[in-house]
Amino acid sequence: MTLRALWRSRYSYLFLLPTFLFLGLFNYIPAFSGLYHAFTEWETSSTAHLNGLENFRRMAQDEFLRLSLANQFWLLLASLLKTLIVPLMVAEMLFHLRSSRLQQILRTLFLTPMIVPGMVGVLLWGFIYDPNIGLLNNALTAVGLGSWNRAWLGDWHTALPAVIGIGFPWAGGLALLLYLAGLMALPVDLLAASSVDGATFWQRFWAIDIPLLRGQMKTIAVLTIIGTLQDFGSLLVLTGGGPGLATHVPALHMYFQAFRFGHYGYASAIGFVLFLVTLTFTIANMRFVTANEEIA
Amino acid sequence: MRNRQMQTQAVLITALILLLILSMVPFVMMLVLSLKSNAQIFTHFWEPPKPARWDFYLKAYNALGGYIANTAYVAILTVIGVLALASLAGYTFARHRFPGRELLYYGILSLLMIPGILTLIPTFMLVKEMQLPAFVFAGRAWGPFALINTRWALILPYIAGGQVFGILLCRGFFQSLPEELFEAARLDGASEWDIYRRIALPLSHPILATIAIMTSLSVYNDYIWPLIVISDNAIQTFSVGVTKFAGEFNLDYGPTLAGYVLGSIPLLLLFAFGMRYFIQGITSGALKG
Repeated sequence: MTLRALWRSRYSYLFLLPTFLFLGLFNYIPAFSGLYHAFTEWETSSTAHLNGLENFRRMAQDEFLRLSLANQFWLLLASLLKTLIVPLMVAEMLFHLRSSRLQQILRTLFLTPMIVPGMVGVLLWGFIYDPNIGLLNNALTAVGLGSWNRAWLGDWHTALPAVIGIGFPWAGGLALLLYLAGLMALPVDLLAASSVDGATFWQRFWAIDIPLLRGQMKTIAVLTIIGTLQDFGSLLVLTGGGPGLATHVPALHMYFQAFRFGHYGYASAIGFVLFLVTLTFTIANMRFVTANEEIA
Repeated sequence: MRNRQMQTQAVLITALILLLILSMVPFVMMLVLSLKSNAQIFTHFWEPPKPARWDFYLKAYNALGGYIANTAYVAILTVIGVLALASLAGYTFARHRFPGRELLYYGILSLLMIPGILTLIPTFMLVKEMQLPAFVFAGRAWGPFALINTRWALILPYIAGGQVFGILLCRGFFQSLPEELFEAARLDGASEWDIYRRIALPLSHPILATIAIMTSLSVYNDYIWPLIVISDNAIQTFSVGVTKFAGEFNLDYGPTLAGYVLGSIPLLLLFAFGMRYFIQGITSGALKG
């Protein structure tokens, strides 16, 4: 590679310069800074200095963090079930509609909840769970179950299930679109052959749809895991991690450590671990699916 | 046989409509209750608004209109920046051959592996310190301008992050164009810039529309970043503003819900014009990575 070759490509580099200026400043430097500061003591009042693995030792003994892990596990499990199963069922039902006109109309209607800003959706669910005028309590009273009324998000027993219930029946969104696109892309002759062979719906579902939708399922799973681990905004607004620690999660813990208590170094270490977890899931999932595809 | 099929269709349609109704419950509740006074909500929860309190919408507009305008301002500038950078870089990666192309491209792809949670704190610290130094211009001293608590503290990082997915989409799109198109222009002596500006860019409107919609959506829905970098209410965005607003009026539910409806209108318009492009973006395959 000579200087002449580089000079000949000067326009290419020039065209990429603005992109990399932005990425360098706001993505690469912060990423490395985040990795570095995970190993520092860095408080509001002082500049950062290296303190080895001290932050990680502190994490191991952090009771709040330990309790938040259990919540995170349930939230993660629930959101995987929510995004992998219900939208797939809806996509299958839409796919099997005879009328393509009806199919299109229903698909669009299932996507309409997306026109409500994310934070409004969260606040609306806060409203549904409201102890005084909430829809849920009113509905229970209307059917004679008024004794079940409670402050759903304020009650230690129901706060986490209530958070999981947000978005019920979890039918639409990105996952539905991906599944539907996947089903539409299935080879027509394969479907025709299976129907000639007299395969029932469930036989076809397990033998054809599921294996061929594995790519979509992988994407949805990875996006869901990454999204769930990082989404603490809605918890911050709805419960603040409470009552007590009932809905506390590691990302929220990181946020509080940094922006409430000014422990930036310790918060960076939590961010670093969350990053490693996300990365592991992403890579493991890619490996797993590729290996499976090679066998098939 | 035919009868059986009709039955199946009927069951499918019923199930789908049932699910749809359940999905719509929060939004119907929002619309109905936004027109009811507290007294009506407390005593006649299930009845339609009587009288409908349209004045709540004026109240909500006065409180939230500014936040919505701020978000629109930030979203528009972000979209312009993302489209400019993503199309130029995507075009270069797709159509130019130069030393280090693969390496640089992987450098961009690798960013998809970096979650925002790792960079949140360092980016905040960086933006907090960042400023344009003082300078003299037109006989006047200007600055220094600090970035924190300005709209640019939102726009600049949004452009940086938003272009990554945009570059992926644009690269895929420009690769799908026939080489002859560019070869002919090169033979005619067009400059690299002209080829990008006059051939590639005009052809890429559909993919740019997709990127514009995805970017606007993510700007509109972002909550944490504006929460930590903007402290001045006059330039705050809707997502943060609406949570404050919900607190202010928390004894008056109607106007709060009217505010939620108002905040949904910009996204309604966005989807009305661009649903097709949005669906293309989601299903384009770039997401399947």
